[in-house]
Amino acid sequence: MQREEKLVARSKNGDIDAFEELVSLYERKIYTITYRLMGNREDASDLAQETFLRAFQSLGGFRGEASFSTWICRIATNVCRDELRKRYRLAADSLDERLTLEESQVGRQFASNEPGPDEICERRELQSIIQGFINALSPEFRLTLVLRDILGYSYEEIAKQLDCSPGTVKSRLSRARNYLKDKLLAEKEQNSRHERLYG
Amino acid sequence: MDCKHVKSVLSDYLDGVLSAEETAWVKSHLESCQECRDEYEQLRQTVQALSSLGEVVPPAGLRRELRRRLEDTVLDKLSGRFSWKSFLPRRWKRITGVQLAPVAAVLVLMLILLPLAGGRMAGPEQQKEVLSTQNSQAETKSRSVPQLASEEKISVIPTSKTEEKMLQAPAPTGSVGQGSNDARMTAGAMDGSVTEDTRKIIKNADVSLQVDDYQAASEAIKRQVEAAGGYVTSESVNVAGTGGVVSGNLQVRVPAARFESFLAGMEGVGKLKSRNIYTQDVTEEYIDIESRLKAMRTKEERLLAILTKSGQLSDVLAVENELANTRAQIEAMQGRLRYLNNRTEFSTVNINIQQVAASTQQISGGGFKDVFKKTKEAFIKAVNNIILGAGALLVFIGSAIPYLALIAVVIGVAWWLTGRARRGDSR
Repeated sequence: MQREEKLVARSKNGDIDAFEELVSLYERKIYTITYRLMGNREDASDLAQETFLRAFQSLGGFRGEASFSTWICRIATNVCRDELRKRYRLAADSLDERLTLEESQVGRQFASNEPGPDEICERRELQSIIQGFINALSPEFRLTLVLRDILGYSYEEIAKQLDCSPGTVKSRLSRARNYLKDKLLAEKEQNSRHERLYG
Repeated sequence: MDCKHVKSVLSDYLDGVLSAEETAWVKSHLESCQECRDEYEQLRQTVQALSSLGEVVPPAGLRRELRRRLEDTVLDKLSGRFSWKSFLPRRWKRITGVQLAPVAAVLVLMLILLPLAGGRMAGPEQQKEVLSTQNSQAETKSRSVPQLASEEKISVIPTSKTEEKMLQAPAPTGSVGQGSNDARMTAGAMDGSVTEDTRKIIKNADVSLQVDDYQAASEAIKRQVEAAGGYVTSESVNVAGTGGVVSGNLQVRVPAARFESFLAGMEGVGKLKSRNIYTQDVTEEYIDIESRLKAMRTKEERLLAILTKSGQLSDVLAVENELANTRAQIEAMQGRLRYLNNRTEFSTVNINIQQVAASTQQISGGGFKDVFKKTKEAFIKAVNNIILGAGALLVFIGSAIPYLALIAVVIGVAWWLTGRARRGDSR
């Protein structure tokens, strides 16, 4: 987009107003990424801001080879990836082995297992249910699933971003998807049983 | 291809990343296997549900806060200040200058206080050193014994050569009393182990006094001498210097029994600058002379007896000669005994008196010099103290670094743990 290019150029020169316009254009997208990956509003806010700040500071290195959208989304996923990995590095096992965080010691301690109070009213909605299941995934599986099925990255892009082989991406993806599928099935069954009992 | 295998590759099949051959296999299997078909359908729906998750609405405050932080970054850039904070982990960014100020204040305080503490520590140590050298001097130095005509060795019991030299002006307050105590102690030792009757001991003392008024001091001493039953043997006065520094020498003799008390009384007259007490034990010589005298007398009597008996002139002359000799020797010995008696009965005290000019009489020509000198000394001392203090601070910091590192590690672990707990709780 022409307009976007102009904004980028002005932002490069330190024009905060121009950059703020860019922010308004990408705010939702970036926030969605951080929210889906981190699983709670507080972290999503923090990391969204972090993303924009980093983007603003490294605008000098952005030469327009990729689109601004790709570039800033890449920053967002990097930021979240680093944060997730940093947090859950406590567990002695490699990040790979455990599919879900419940299986590891780490699972008990971090925030994103359950949606926050402001989301409880949406609890019954599919979105937040799914998000809850996503939050149960350990970082590498979570990243793989979100990058593929929510953000639509290719296998190669994911492999590059997570620094692993495409084969690993496939297997992680398969396991994560199947986990979600099983969970959703169980949820549906519970709901239908609920309805059967209480109409 | 069996169901198990098909199920394991359903995800890849869904994304279309299987090889052509495998894709065909799975497709044909699915057509015939209901179970796998259901499985595949469920998987597909799951993925679809994921991809249809909508965008999430960001909270209202996000842009506002982002704007503020952007402005901070730009301000830092413009003012040339490099925002070191951007490199810190997020939590550390909340540390503001307000929180760092106390730390800086503590460091500054330490820099100021340590030199003072260092200076004060140096002072008492200096004084201690001085005192110890005094004591060692007292022990090691010994006066040589004045040689006597006879080659008798002076016996040792308390050949006390107590020497106490004290520094002038700002002398440590305890030492004057200490000195007189020592003198009294040694004198007492002499008294305790030996009675005056059995031993012949010559006591001498050299005393140096500093007084404000020479006349008054001299009169006071003379009075004390008379009160003790002694007498003054000589006196000399010397007036030197334009400032009218008067000094004099007084030699007095006091009865040996009054020796110590007389010395003690002198301290009331003026400030004691030095005192030197030395004694000689002449008992051996005395006894020896006495016995020889006795022998001489016996010899004299026998000679006299021979004189009355014999009649020949040559004999008489020889005996007379010998008698004269003997009598001369007796005289000499008696003289020596008398001398020793006198010396032991009366102790000799040499008193040197110095009158220090009263400061009120002098115009402060010297005063200015003193002030200047003192200022210079104080300045140098202060600079030294600061250097010492800086050194001490460095040493302290060096020694503290391991502890600080340990504390930092502990705090870091604790913070990190509570941070994780907080995050867990807030959800």
